[in-house]
Amino acid sequence: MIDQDSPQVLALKERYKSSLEEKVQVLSDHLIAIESEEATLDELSELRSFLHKLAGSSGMYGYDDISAASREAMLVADQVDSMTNLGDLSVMTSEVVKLLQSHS
Amino acid sequence: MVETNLQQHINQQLFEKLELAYFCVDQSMRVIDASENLESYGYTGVITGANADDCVDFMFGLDAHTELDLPLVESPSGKKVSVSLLPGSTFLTVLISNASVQADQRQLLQQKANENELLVEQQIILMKQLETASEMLEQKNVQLEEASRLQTSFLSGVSHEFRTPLTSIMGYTNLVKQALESASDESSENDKVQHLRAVQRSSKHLLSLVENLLDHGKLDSDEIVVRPKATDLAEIFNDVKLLLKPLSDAKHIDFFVELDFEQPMMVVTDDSRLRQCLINLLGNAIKFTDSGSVRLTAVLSNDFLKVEVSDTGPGISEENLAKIKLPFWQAADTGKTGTGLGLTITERIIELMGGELEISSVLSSGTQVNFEIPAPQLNATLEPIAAVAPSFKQAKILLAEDDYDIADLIVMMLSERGYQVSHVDNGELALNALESQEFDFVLMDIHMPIMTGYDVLAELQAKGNTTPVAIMSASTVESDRAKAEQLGCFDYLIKPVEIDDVIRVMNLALEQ
Repeated sequence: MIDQDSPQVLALKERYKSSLEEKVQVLSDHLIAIESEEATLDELSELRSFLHKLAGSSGMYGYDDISAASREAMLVADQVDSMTNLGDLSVMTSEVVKLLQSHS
Repeated sequence: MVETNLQQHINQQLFEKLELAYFCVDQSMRVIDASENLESYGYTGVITGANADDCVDFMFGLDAHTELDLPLVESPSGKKVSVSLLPGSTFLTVLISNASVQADQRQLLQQKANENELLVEQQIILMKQLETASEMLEQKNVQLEEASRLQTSFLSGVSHEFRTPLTSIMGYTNLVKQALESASDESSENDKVQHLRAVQRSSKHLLSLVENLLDHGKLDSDEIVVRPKATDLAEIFNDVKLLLKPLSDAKHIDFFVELDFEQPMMVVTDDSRLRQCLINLLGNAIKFTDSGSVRLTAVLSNDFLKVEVSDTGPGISEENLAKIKLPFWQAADTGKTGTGLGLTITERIIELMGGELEISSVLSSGTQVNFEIPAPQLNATLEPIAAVAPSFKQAKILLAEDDYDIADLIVMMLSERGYQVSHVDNGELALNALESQEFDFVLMDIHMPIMTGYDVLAELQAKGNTTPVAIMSASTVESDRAKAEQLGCFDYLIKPVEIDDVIRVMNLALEQ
C-alpha cells in the first residue's frame, strides 16, 4: 500500500480545497432560495442533490466533519413534508456552510 | 430755528457723551464763563470772576495765546482728563474731557482693529488650507485616472493573454476531432497524442494565467502558499520549454534553454509554483523581445537552483525599473499588453521559496532576471509505485461517476496502484462502454445524469452482462441498498469510499 499521497493526489486535494469557497457560494445561494417565500420543490431537490454529492466528495478528501454534516442535512431534506416547514433544513445547511468556510 | 435747536441738541449729546466740561478766561486769566459739570472733575470755585490761575492747577503759568493739548492730566477728583486750550482773539476756551472715556474708545477701536487683523490672518490660513485641499484632490484625481487606465489596460491585457493558449487549444482539438471524424484517417496515433499534449500544455499555460489572477487577490493577505515536494526539475524545465517555444517561434526569435543538471533530477520544490514563475518570466521576455533571443539557464549546485532569464529586448529604463514590480504596472510605450501581474506575483513566490528576484537591464540592449532558491536534491528517484497482485495488474476498470472531484481522485489512486481505469460521467456512456469493450470491474455512482446507476444495472441484468458492478452512493437508506442488490450489484459502498475498500471489493470480484 502507498502510505503517503503522491504529488498528483496532493494536487487533487489542493484543487478540492480551493473549491470549498465556491461550494460555500453555491450552498449559500441554495439557502437563499429555500429561505425565500416561494421556495419550490425543484429548489429543495437541487439542494438535496448538492448535499448528497458533498457528503461523498468531502469525505473522500478527508473532510469528515463536512461529510457528516452534509449527510445529516441531506437526511433532513429527505424528511421535509411541507415547503412551509424548511426551518430545520436551513439550520443544518448553514452548519455545513460554516464548516466549509472553516476549511477554506 | 429748527436747525439751531438740532445743533444744540447734538452739542448737548456730545458734551454728555464725552463728559465735556469747559470754561473761558479773558486775557487776564479771569473766568468769564464756566460749565456746571466742572465740579464733577473736582474743579470747584471756577466761577465767573474767579482767577483761573488760582483755582485750576494746570492753568498756572500757561500762555493764554498758544493752542495746547494736554493729553493726560489728573483732575482734583482723581479722574484722568485731557485738556485742550483753544485761544481766541479776546478769550481762551479750556475744554476738559474724560480721558478714560476716550481711552476706552481708543481701546475699543484698537480691539476692533486687532480683531480685523486676526480675521484677515484666519482668512489667509483658510485660503491656504483650501489650496492644499484642492491640490490633494487634483492629485487623487490623477491617481484615480491612472487606476482606471490600469484597469482598462489590465482587462484588455487579460483578454489578450488568454487568447493565445485558447487559440492553440481550439486549433489542436480541431485537428484531433478532424482526424477522428475522417474515415480515411491519415494521421498517426502519435500525431494525435502530440496534438493532445499541445492542448495539455496550453491548458497548463491558461491555468498559470488564472493562478496569477487568483494569486493577485492573495498578495495582500499573505495567502500565497508554497508546497515543496519531491519533483523532477528536468521535467519542469522541459515542459516550460515546450510550452513557450511556439511563442518564440511565432516571433522568429531564438529561445535557448541550458540546463546544467542531469535528467531526471529529483529535488524538493513546489513544481507548480516554479513552473508559474518560469512561465511568467519567460513569457515577459518573449513578449518584449522582437528580435534576437531569449535564454533560460538553470544551474543546480549545493542544493541551490540558480535561474537566469535573459533577453535581447528593448531593456528597461532606470525609472521604470523602480515601478516594474508594482501590480498592474505595464510599460506604456511598448504597445505590449498583459495582465501586469506576472512580475509582482513571481517576486512574491520567489520570496516565499526563499529567494530574491533580481532584475538588471540596459536600455536597448536587454534585460536579465535572476533568482536563486533552495532545491535540496533527492538521492533516489521517487519510490516505485506499490506493486499490485500480478494477476490483477491488467485488470480493466470502468468508473462511472459524474462528480469530477471524486472521479479524478479515484482514477489517480487506482492508476497509481497499477490498474487501468476508464472514466465516464453518466449512465448512458457507462452502458455504451460496457457494450463496446470488456471490463473486469465497474465502479458506479447511483445519481448520474441521463441514466442513473439503477437504470444501468437493470439494463445489464436484462442483457445478461455479468461484469461485476460495485455501487458507490452517499445514501445510507436501506431501501436504496436493497434496490441495488436486487438489480444484481456486486457490492454497495457508502460514500465517502476508502480506496482500500474499493480495492478489497475489486479483488474479491476479480477472484471469482
